Amino acid sequence: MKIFTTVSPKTIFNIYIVTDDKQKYGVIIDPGDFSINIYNLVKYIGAKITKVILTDGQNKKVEGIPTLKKVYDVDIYAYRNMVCDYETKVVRNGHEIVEGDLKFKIIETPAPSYDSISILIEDALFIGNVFQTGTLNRFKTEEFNTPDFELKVIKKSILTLPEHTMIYPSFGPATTLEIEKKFNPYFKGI
Amino acid sequence: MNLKKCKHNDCNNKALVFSDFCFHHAENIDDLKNKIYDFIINNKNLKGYNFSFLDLTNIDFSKKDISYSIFSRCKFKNNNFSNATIVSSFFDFATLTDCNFTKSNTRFSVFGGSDMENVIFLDSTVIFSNFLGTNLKNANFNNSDLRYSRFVEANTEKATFKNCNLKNTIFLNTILEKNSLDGSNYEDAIIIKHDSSSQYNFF
Repeated sequence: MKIFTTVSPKTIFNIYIVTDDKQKYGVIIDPGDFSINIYNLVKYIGAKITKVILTDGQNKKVEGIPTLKKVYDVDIYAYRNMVCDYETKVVRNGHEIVEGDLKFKIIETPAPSYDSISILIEDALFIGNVFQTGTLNRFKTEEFNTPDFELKVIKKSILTLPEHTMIYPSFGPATTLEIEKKFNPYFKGI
Repeated sequence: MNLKKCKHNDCNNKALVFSDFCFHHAENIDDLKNKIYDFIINNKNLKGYNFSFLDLTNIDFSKKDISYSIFSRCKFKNNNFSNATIVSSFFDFATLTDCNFTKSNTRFSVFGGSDMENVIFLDSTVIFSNFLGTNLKNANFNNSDLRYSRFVEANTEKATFKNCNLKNTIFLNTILEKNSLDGSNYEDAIIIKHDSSSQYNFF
């Protein structure tokens, strides 16, 4: 498995492409506005894009779907059954999406929105907006009080994974679970 | 990023480059280390390899293209990374002493939990990178582009970030020494600190 990262220049959201070792086929996670960055990255990688998985249905992550559907023949996997007027293949907790050697396990993580899912493949976890490196899903500069529900979701579904799990959020740099457990100020004491 | 697992029973570590086993379970580890050192020295492109736990003292990484590679808990001493490109690579909990990253281009990389002493990132691009809990002792980030990088809970001692682009750079609970951000657009950074005595306490 290989993981490639780029950023939408418009939204600064991360866009990930996961491929097999030989880069023959790949899956896009959260294509965003399908900017030229991602198109060029796909061309550079050389993999055939076969699937798209959405960690949630917010506009910034899906607005490029209509264009993307015209460029690639892909199925879209999401918690919601419709995205940008396209039917999706609906996923729920524990579902597995298989593409060749790649097996993506869906973990429902309904924070910050009801349709938020995380995607586990081997030791890599794509968490969407569940949290960001060193914080929750945003920097609330005026307060350190955190919504209990978000923390409960994180504690139940993510902090139970092995510490060497590599974490790829929708916004900001990647991290590992060990780093977050030790240094994310919001996770101390939970 | 190649995440092949160690074949030893119940081991969750990733296998080292050129091996089916991790550093702790590899047989003939000295031979393997020498093979890996030769490989690093003789290859400009290091893409998708796992070097975790290795002692990489004195190896020259200058001008190399290091992408999607893992250096977790490696030991670096007296390494030259100048003009290197480092993309989506993990240096978490590594120790880096007397290392030179001048004019390097680092993106989407993870240095969280690492110990850095006498490290120079002068004139570099270090964007979208993770420095959570990093110990930065005598670290020079001057004249660098640090956009979207995060120094959450980092400990700094004689670390300077002068004349840097700090747009959306995050310093959360980071101890910043007086004048360490001089000449930088620290108004565009996100600096959050509980200690109200901080010179740069904006929130």
